[in-house]
Amino acid sequence: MRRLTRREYNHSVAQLLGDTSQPANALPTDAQNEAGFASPIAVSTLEARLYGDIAEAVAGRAVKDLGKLAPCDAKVGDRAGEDACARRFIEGFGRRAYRRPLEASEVTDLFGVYDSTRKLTLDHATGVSLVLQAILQSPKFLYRWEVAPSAKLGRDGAYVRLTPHQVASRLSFFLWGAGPDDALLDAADQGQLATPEQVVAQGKRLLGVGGKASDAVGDFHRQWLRLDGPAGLADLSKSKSKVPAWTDDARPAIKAELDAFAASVFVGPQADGKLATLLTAPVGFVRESTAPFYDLTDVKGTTMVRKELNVAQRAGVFTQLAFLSVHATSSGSHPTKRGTVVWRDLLCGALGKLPDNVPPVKEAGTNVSALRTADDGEVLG
Amino acid sequence: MKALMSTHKPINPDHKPKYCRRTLLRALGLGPGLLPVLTTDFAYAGCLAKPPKRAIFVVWTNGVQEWAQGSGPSFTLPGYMKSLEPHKADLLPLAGVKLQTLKDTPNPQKADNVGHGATPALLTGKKYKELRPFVEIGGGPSIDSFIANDLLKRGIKTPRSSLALGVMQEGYLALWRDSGQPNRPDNDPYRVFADVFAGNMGTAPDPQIDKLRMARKSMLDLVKRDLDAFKKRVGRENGARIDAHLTSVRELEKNLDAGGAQVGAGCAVPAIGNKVDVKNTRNFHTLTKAQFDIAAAAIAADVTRVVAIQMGNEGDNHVVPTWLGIEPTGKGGGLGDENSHHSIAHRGGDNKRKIDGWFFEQFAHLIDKLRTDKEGTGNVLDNTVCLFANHMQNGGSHSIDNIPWLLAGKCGGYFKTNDNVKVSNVPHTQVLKEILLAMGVPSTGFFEDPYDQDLP
Repeated sequence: MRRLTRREYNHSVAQLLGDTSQPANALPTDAQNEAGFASPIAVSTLEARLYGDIAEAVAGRAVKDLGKLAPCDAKVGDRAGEDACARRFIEGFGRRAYRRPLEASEVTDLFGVYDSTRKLTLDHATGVSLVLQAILQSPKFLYRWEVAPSAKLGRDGAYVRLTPHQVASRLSFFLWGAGPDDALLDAADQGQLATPEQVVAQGKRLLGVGGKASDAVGDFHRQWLRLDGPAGLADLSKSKSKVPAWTDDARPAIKAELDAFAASVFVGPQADGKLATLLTAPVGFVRESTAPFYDLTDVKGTTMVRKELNVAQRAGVFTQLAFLSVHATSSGSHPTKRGTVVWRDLLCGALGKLPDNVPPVKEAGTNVSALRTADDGEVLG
Repeated sequence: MKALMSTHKPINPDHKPKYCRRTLLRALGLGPGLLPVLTTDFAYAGCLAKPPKRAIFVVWTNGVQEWAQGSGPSFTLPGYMKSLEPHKADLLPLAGVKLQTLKDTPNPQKADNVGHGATPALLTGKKYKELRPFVEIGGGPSIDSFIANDLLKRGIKTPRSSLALGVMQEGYLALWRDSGQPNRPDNDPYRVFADVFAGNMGTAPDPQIDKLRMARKSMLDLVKRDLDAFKKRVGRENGARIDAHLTSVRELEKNLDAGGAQVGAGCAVPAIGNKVDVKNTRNFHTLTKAQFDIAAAAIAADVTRVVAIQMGNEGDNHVVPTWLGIEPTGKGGGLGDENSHHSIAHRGGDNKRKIDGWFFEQFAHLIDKLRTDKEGTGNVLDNTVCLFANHMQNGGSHSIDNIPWLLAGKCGGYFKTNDNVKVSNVPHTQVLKEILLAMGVPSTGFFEDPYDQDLP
């Protein structure tokens, strides 16, 4: 069970409601786990409050186009007709938000929110809005654990078997950063995620959806290579005296290159999906602001161009700008930092405590502990 | 510790409801025409005849360049702490305190000088629950939550049991409701102000708004029922996290129900000025002042008896002190810009003194506010203890020995201030215990072995 990250929340409301305002950015930054991946910890009172504020704002925007959110033929004031529309909305939207079909008791509970709103003589739209707010604050939406209230957990020896809807959800959050679409939910409803072949087929379908899959694949690689978070790509900056070609335009270009390269390996019909390609392809995605770092002179403007790079110098993601520039200092290379990431995150090695007789690495104008890489304070100094 | 202690007076809360709506309205920029529509429910008024004890905790980062010298009442403050000079009689700078709980947390990968990582354990009586890069988890409640909880258990009700305020806080957290349960400070003083001081101000009685409030209540009831049912299904460890979520929703409801407090006659509602961007570090100074003013006003008016403020994050990589005329250079690396608070702290020197001096000015401002508010035969500061807690000795060494901890206020006569207290190698937990004793809060459950010890 895991709470949605800020990105997953944003992607989810975009997919469910077409709301691309990235409302979850108002939440505190997600904690990271040991591997560098976003991993939210327990909800504080502030977050409970912000979840409420966000849900209210999102619902307020959504009910402005009620016809799109919850199509309804009933005339205003036709309570029976509007009730039926509300139930239909709860069943349909609830299934997509909770990533599994709702049980009758859950529909009744949510309809209760609609009903008590109407009994206060508030209108249909307000009722739908409050149902939507209840859904967006429910643990069934906020936490990834798609098991219906009365479902028995399927034991398989010492393990618990995932429900088909948990399989669907894991697949779509991994490849889209959001919950399943209707087709994937249908497959789960019909028990069509039972074999590896069925899962692979759905996975390939999800990876074929350009925008969503590219975003999620980029997110994954940025977290995996420890390029997100403090002192990551977003804060990247270089000394103009030591790195004369640096401009601030390079910062977004470097991030865009990583995302485009990862997507080129894994997303779309041309992608071969091979780890070898990720680790060895001498390819860059270059804009004018990043061209000098690859000794290229023929790339102009802000349109990203796919370029074959010098094979003597470049091989895959570890020789592209994102990894090299983040795991470095502002004035130059830093083999120890890069080695630490490779050793810990790729080779799963552990770093021991720094022996007492190792002198700190010194760099002009920098104090010692910034560069002692054996402690986790490496980046923090 | 006898050195810190004066006499121990019992807590004797005496709430006298008073009204001071005009002050409140002035602060909100509203006309007195709105007076009749204010709710007639009163919150506890400040300016009490027999004032209660209160505690304020301020967490800040990157150590100091120099610290109080000499011993006893004749101690001297270095030049950049001069803003505190007028308050010397109310100060108790400590020397020789160390972060023992961090030293004792098993962690083979971590050198023992990582001050930044000390943040989550700083205000707790326990070792870390877990050591993880960037998000060390507090092993127990921080002292602010512990005190607030004790007051609740004793039936002492204020509109808020505690306030957690932040100034661009992110990253390592110092405030914990309990083990693994964050108590995230609100970085938005304008939201805090509206919640705490003006929550019950409607423009006119509006049946539509009342109906919405009731509908929202039924919606939140379902959210709570969902959380409760979910928690029972997901196993013990996950269940504890869902339970924390449920507690947070309940706490939120309680805060919303409490509405905005009204402030007693003679107590000032802070004027926090026009809203500025709470995520822009150029506003760090403005935001700090707003949060400190809210803290002082909330304490003076007995809106709450416990306030915790976390300033910046564990290293302030993101904070360039532009308000001191220090501009970003656009260069930098793992410590943020070359002129970030963190980078400057690593180098030390005059700019570091300048920044330290700014922090001490803010502390002096808070102390001054508390001293200005009279209550009983003295002032609010006399009945309050403030702890200004940094987590490392200085920005170069990152040592967690000799951390600069400053106490201010007598807390109802408990602390004998105007003294530079030199102790030798004393765990910070013993100082926290003194604060619990001063507040009349039993320490049972706050500390794990062997930290429930008195100062020598």
